[in-house]
Amino acid sequence: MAIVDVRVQVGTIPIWGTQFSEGHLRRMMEKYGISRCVVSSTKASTCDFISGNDAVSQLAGKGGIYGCAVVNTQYPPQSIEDMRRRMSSPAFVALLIRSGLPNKPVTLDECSEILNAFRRYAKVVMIEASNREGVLAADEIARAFGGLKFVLLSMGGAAWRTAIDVADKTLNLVLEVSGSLNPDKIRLAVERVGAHRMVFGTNMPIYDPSITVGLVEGADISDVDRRLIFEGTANRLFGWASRESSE
Amino acid sequence: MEIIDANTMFGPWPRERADMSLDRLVSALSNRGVARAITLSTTGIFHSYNDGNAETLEGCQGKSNLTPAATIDPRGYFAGMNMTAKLVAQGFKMFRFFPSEQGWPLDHAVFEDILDELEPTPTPIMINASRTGDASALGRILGGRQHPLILEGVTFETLAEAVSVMKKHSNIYVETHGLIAPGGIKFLAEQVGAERIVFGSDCPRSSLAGALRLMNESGLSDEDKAKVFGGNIMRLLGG
Repeated sequence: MAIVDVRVQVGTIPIWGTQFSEGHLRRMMEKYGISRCVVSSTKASTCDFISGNDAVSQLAGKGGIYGCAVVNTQYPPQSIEDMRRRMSSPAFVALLIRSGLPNKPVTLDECSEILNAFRRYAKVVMIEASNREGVLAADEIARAFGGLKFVLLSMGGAAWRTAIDVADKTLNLVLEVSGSLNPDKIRLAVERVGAHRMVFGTNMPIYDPSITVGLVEGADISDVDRRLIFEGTANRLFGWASRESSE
Repeated sequence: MEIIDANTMFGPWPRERADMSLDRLVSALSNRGVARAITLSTTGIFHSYNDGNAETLEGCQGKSNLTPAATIDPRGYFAGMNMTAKLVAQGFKMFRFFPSEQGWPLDHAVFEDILDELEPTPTPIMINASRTGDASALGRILGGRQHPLILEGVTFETLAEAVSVMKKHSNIYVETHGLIAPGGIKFLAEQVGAERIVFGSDCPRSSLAGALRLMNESGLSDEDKAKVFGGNIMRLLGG
């Protein structure tokens, strides 16, 4: 079964200071059978989104690696300008919005200007949320921009039940399954939200892919649903399924 | 290769909805081929260590694949009660402590009293060390004590600290469930030796399948995997 990993970072690993380069990523893709991945930059997420996005643009669009541009709501004009440089390219398939502050969720009022400018690209928006406050804020954003597709990264972290509750009602919200390792999480999300709205992500190199692969493999769900989570939903979300069928 | 899971629990978990029943734990161990698990009742963490220890013994009774771990909350323990010896006599094979969940500092005077009580016994201790500074504090508190101490909840953010302390104290070990950074387990083995690492999953609160896969793909040799999966904890438990 091929895997599409929608959440990968490259660059210097925060705190440890070691490099996770394109070469490291390719080896991990081969090891885990990852056919496609969506990559952002560690530096873009922690301090400098523009130079981080520059680094991603060097490898995006080649050999199954696609780019996710990061923007920072503390810098709306710069974010919009950088977004315009990247998002017309087919190599960049998603936008990750960050608040610029650790553990502070992005809110609707902070990101409206950026998302209004982003609408024309009709690509995927990713939002991180590790607690209930973040999940509810992401839900508010997704409802306000009903024409866009949103991926809730880490499925809300410890607030994964809240994430399932909101995704049940907010149909343009897709759940990415890394985060909490609760063994019930995947099955409950499939039952309530459906595997057709769940995508696989590892958050490597922060997390080892084997842990999330094991979480999904060990979940009490059907093989059809497992396949959707591992690749089917993401292929459809990013438009790769239609491209494959037309080729 | 026999697998022993050194970190499991059962019982209520008030801070997050979770099915942590004993049946579920037993079923997960059986389904995943884990031969044996060290476990305790979470009642001992959140309510009363006396009640929790009693539930642990009851839960493990008649189940040869479950080994009971006791817990004591230092906030409600008076030195001189010598409860540790009584618990060992009841059949508990490990002592576990939960400073983060219970909100006490590692330099709690009573915790040191308990360490002193435990010193004459070979019973290993497992303690949560998930916060930055925990491992360092434990190193200071441990001083010259030679009791085996297993750090649980170490993550990539606290691994460097744990390694530093482990290099100064040969009786400190690390449990694996928090080491989910790529290469984290292998790195730790290279730093301190595979004989200082103990497999644990945090099951059924966390995925046992994920923890096993992480270990199987850790890059350790089969010999080192055997140590981590079971050999080390068997040695600490006295066979």
